Amino acid sequence: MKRKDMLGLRDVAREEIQEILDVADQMREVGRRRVKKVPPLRGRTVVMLFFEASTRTRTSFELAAKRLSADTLGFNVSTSSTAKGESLMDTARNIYAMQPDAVVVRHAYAGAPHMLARAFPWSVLNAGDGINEHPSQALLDMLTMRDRLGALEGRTVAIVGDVQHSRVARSNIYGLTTMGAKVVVAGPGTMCRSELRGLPVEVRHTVDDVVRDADVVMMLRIQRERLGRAVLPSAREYAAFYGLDLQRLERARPDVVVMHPGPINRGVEIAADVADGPNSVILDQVTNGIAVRMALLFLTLGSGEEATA
Amino acid sequence: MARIRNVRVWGADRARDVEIGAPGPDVEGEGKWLVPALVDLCCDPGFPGFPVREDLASLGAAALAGGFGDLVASPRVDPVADTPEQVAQVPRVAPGGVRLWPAAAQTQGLEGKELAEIGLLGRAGAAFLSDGGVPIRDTVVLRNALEYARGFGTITMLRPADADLDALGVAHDGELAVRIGLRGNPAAAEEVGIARIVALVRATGAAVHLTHVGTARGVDAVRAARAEGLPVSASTPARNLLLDEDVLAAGTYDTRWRLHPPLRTAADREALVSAVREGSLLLCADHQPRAPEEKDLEFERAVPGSTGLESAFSAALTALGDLDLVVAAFCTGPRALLPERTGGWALVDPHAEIAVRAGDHRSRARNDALEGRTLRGRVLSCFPAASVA
Repeated sequence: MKRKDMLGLRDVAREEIQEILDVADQMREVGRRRVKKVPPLRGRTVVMLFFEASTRTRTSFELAAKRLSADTLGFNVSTSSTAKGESLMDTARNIYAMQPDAVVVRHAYAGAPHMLARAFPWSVLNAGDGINEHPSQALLDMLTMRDRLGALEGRTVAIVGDVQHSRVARSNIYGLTTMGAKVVVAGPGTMCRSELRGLPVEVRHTVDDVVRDADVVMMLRIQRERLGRAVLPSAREYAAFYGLDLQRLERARPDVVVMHPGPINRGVEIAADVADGPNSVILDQVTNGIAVRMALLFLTLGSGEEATA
Repeated sequence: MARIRNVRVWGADRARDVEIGAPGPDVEGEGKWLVPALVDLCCDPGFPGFPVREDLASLGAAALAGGFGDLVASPRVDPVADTPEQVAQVPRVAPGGVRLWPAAAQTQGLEGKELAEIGLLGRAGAAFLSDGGVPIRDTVVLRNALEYARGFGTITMLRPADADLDALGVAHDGELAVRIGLRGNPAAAEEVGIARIVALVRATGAAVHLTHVGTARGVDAVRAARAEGLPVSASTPARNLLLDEDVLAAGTYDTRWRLHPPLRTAADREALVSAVREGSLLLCADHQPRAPEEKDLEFERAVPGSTGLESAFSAALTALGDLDLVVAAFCTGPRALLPERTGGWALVDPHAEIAVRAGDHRSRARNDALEGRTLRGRVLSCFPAASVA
C-alpha cells in the first residue's frame, strides 16, 4: 500500500482493502503469543490526538502501536489546549514539532484529519471525523465478516439505525460495496432520509425488510449525545420498531452474523440475549480491531524504513 | 482631466474619445468599454470591529479594483450598526471616492427581538434596513419590523431563511453532503424563508430586497411575487453563477468554499443564471473578507464567507457572456434601489482573461471562493465620481 494516510474508505481501492485485511489477518498471530510484541515500528512515535472522548478506539490503537513496538503518546485535547482557545492547526504544529511519525486523530468535525494530513508529512489515521468516516472500524468489521463468511463479494449486509449520522455506517458502506457486497439500510425516517440515495445503498423501510435476506446485520448505536431535536420519540419506541430482538432474529437466516460497533445500549438497538447470543460476533470485532489497526500503522508508516519527512 | 481614446461607452453605438471628469493620464480605449460603475448591495465592510479583515482604505482599493462605485455596508459589524450614532459614524466615502451606503439593523443587536430606532436610523443616514444576514426567528417581530419600516419608505434587506432549518448544516443538504459526511442545510430553509417574507410583504406592503437567493424554487417564488406586483427585488452573489456544491465533491473540505448559505446544486446554479438573464434577479459581490485565522480551521468551524469585490465583475461576465446583462444586473438594476441617484464609470476589457489570485488582491483578505479560476473580463480602472463627456 502506497498511501501515507488512512482518512476514509471512500477512495480506497479493492486491492488496498484486500491488502489491509490480509496483513491484519497475519497480525492477529501476535496477539496470541505470550510475548505480544514485534519490532517493525521500533523507535517510531505514534501520537493519539483525540478531540472527542473515546475509550475503545483509543486503547485499541494504543495497543496496536505498542504491539508493533512504537512509542505512543496521548494528548487529551478536550481538556487542554483547545479549552484555552488554541486552533486545530496550532495544536498540530506543536505536536508536529515533537517529531512524531504518525498521528491517530478523532475529531467532532468532518475533514479535520484531512487538514492534518495535508499540513505535514506525517501519517494520519482517522479514528472518526464528525459524521464522515471511521475507516478502521469498518475494516475491523470487514475482517470479522470475512472470518465468518469467506469472501465479501455477493454478500448482503444490513445496517440498521442512524445511518445518516453514522461514520461507522458511512465507512462500511464505502468499503463493503468496494469489495462487492450489497448494503441495505433501514431506520426511522429521521435517520435514513431520502438523501441517502447519494450512497451506494438500498434504503428499505422496516427492519424486517432488511433482516430477511441479510448475511450480516449490523446494528448501529443510538448516539444519544448526537441526536438533534425531535429525532426520536423514545428509547422504547426505537426498540419496538428498530431494535434487534430474538423475535426479529428468527426472521433472519439461522447463521446470520450479528454485529455492533459498541458500546451497546442493551434493550434499545439490540436485546441482551441477541448481543450475547451465538450469532453475535461483537467481541470478535474488538479483538480484530487491534489487528486491523496494527496493519494500518504498519502499512502507512512503512515496514521500518525511515520516514520521508 | 483624463482622456480615453477610442472607447465604447455603454449605451452608445460606436467608439469615441471620452473626457472623463476625473484626474489621470490619457489611456487608449481600443476594444474597451466604459460601463456604469458596479454596486455591491451586500458588502460586509469588516469595520468597525474586525481590523484583521478589512479597513476603509483596503475596502476602497478593493472596490476600485473591481469596478465598484457604490457599496451597501452591512450592519453586521462590531458594534452592530443599530443606533443612529453608529450609523452616523459609517464613513460615506472611501479613499478613491467609492461611496458607502449604510444599511442599519432592523432589530436591536440583530437579535430579532426588539425593533431598532428605524426612523432615527433613517435620519442618521441609513440607506436600508437589514437583518444583516441573520434571519429573524420570530415572525411577529419580522412582520412588525416591516409594518414599521413601511411608514418610512425604507427598503428592508433580508436573507430569506427559516432560522432553525438554516442552522442545521454547512453544505447543501443532498446526496453530496451525505457522501462527504457534512451536515446538510436544506433548500427548504430558503424556500420557507421566502414564502414567509412574501406573505408578510403582501400583508404589509413593505418593500423588501431578498439577499443571497440561491435555489431554483427560491427564484420561482421571487418571480411569482414580482409578477404579482409585490415590492420585492432579489439578488444573488455573482460567484453563485459559477460555483455549485460540486466544488466540494473531491472531499478536501477546503474552507474557501465554506459559505453561508451554502453553494447549492448545479440545477440551482443554472436557475440563478436564467433568472439574472431575464431580469428577475440582481447580482451582488457579497464581499465578506475573512482573516486567515478565521479560515484556517475545520470546515464546520471556519467563518463562512468569501471576498467578492475583485472577482465579481469577471465572474458575472464569464457566466452571462454578455456585457449588457452584467450592466443590468450589477449596475443599473442595483442603482435603482439606492435612495439617491448615483454615478461613476468603470473601464473594462470584456475580452481579457484574468486568473483569480487573492494574493494579488487589494483587499486585506485572501478568501476568494473563485481562487485559481480563469475568468473572462478585466476591470482596468474605476472612476466613482466621474462624468463622461
